[in-house]
Amino acid sequence: MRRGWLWIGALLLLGGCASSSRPIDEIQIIQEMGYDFENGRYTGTAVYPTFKQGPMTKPNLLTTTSPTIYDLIPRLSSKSPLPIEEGQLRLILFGKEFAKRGVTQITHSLARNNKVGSHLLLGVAKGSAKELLHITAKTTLSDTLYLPNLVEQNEQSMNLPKTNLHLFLYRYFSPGSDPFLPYFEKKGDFVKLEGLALFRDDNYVGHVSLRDAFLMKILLGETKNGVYQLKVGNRGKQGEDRVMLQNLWAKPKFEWKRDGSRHRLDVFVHIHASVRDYPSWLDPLMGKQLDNVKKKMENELEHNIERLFRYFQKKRIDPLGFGDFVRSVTKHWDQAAFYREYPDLDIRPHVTVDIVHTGIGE
Amino acid sequence: MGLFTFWKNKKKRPPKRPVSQLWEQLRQSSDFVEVSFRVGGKELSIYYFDSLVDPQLLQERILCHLQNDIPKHPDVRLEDLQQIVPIQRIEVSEDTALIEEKVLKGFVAVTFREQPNKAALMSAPADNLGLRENNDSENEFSVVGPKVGFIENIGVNLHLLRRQIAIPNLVFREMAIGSVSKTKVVVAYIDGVANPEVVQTVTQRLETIHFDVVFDNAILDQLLADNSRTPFPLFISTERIDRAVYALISGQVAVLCDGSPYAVIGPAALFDFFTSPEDYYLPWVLGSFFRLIRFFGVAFSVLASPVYVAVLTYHYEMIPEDLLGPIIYSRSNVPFPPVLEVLFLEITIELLREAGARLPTKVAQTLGIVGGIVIGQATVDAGLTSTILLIVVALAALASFTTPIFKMSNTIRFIRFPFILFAAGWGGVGIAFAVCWLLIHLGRLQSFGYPYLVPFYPLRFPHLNDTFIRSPYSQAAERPQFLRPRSRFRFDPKEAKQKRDIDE
Repeated sequence: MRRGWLWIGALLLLGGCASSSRPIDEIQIIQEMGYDFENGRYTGTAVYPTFKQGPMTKPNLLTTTSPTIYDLIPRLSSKSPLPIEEGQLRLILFGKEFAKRGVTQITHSLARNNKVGSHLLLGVAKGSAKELLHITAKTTLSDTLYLPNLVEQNEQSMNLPKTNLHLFLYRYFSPGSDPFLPYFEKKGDFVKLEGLALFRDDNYVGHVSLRDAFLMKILLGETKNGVYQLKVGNRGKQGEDRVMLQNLWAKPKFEWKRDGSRHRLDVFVHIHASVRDYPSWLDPLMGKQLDNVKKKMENELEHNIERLFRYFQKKRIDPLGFGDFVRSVTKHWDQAAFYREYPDLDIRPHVTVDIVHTGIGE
Repeated sequence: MGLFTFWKNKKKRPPKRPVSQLWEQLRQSSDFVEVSFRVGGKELSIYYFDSLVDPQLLQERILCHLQNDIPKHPDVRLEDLQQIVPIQRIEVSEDTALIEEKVLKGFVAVTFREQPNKAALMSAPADNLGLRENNDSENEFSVVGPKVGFIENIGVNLHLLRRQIAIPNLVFREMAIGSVSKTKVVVAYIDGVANPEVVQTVTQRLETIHFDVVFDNAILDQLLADNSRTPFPLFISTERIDRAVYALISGQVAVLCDGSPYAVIGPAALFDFFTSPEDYYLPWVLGSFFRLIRFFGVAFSVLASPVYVAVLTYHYEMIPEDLLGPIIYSRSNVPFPPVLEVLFLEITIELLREAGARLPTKVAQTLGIVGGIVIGQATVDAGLTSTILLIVVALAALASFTTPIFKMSNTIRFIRFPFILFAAGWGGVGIAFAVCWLLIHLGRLQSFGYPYLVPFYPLRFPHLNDTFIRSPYSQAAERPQFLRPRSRFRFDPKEAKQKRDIDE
């Protein structure tokens, strides 16, 4: 019996060590957060749902400004009736100006924050993040998660490569690659996914279009999904000279060779694709014409990929992680030496397209 | 103490008490009958309890033959009565204690004047008087399979067992337990299958029991238990004959007790409590599936409301985004913290269950409806609990009913509360702690000295084929080896695997 009391006593004492409870209806859950830099001051915008009218949510916004970043959430608290909790954050949007100045302060703090999942999405807004969040709050009646859903939908079935906090941090800390994030733009009263924002270390340096994002997606080794329009001829009226390619399965392969005094990186891409839409003059069942079209597709893809590489080399960024690949095949890889050589590196794409289906025949 | 010492003293009285003194004592009761008469020059007396003896048996088998046949054998002695009276096993004894015991169990004692200290004991008990005839198994129901169950009469129960185990190895060892009730208790096992060590443990434990009245086998169950502090039942108690027979042929030992429709079976392992005889009547795929559902039900029943408490109090981070809205909305009007909300509902359901069990069946149905629908709906409308919790708690209660053995389902009902308290105090860590505690406790339990958590602790791979899944019969020839049975196979495993179809 004495042991029993001892147990109960120990449990009671230990009960004091429990972290303070935060019942779910007594906290302000923020689901999206935006960071901006304007006129020397930082602006933080938090989107939180309210559930008082029913299970449908109504997005609300809290905005505050501060000369420092760390001060933003405490300042938001002074406008909120309930303690602000960031455990349900799904997306963080950086304004372009903010992203240019570097996002490390935020991402470092997120990396250490055990409340936030690594599946958290990050994004960059052309213009101000605050404005974009305002638009999403206005256009959607009940959905606080408009932007996260937008990103996820595009990752799963369209051209956007997978991005999230975990991948951002991986690419950021990895010596042989640079991070990238989805890039949003305001189009009238809507938010549009415009492509990918590219970073050098943690600074925004430029962006590529959604069409180029498809090429990046393939080169990153994400084997499925994505559509790509290709010009295959110049016969017919406008719009009659393009095919719409849907990626079924693609695989990139890299080869690192020494070519005299220089190095050469060969990139082989094998795409199994189906042709979703094609001009009426093109009969895909006819072998010779098909070969012709295939050749044209390959050439155009190679050309576009090469253009993309030049752009990366010019910006001295490596979002595709070539450095990581080269490191994996060389002894004593030297980061500094590799990136000194990088802008002049000979990177050659080789594309093979296999057309797998062409839809229902006549 | 005072009450018990009285009976103890009686037991320790010197055995050399004359029989006449016994009759003197018994005469105090009005249902004790003493008849003396003369037949053919013999003066004989018969003694019995009117309330215990079947009057028809007494007249037709005993009185009739004594009156008609004794004149034909003038030199008859008590020992020779077996030749006259057509009643099995007539015992002649001088032992007052034995006479007392037998008379109190419905025997008729016959004495001759020449042999006043000896009595012939003839069995004429009204065995079924006041007991039910109907032996449907009431609490362990199964759709497929026999519906016959044990009843309060031990003679019938033994008969039912012996009917299915028609081999001479089935042994019934009888003893009387209870200083007041002198209840007939039978240890049943199959010689050559059950490990003699178990049989010895059981009989030894039964012999050392000091108790007054054995109302039910459940009392023996507790008195036999290796650990009396655990909420877990250490022996299976079943009213199903198939279950008892299956246990016997697997090498377990059953204890039956007069007046109780339950057989206590041991050594039992934790997982035995989640198997139902129906698993064996259905095809093995279905049987395994339902068994897995049952395990899931138990885990759900124990963990559902604690997880609700932990998540809503401490870990809002892990709520899926689509569930966030419904949960917060349904909680927004509730004035209590999640713990009190859960305790309130859990206790309401326990009250309903308890009240339903104590009331007559017809009233209980009404109560279930009133309690379940009216109270449930009203508490939600009044904003005392959230709708989601109502669903969680109701599902957990439902899941706990899937356990086939009632004692185990009680345990599961009970186990939930410490889990809820731990979840309220320390969130997910608390639940993990409680689960560890539970596992340690289970690992330490023993049933007749055999490990309770077998086949997981200690790990016994071959026995796993009848734990989570129910293997087909061709794979189930081996008896569970952790019981250390004397014979390894139930039937020939090679023959069981052979296909006998001529197929060429």
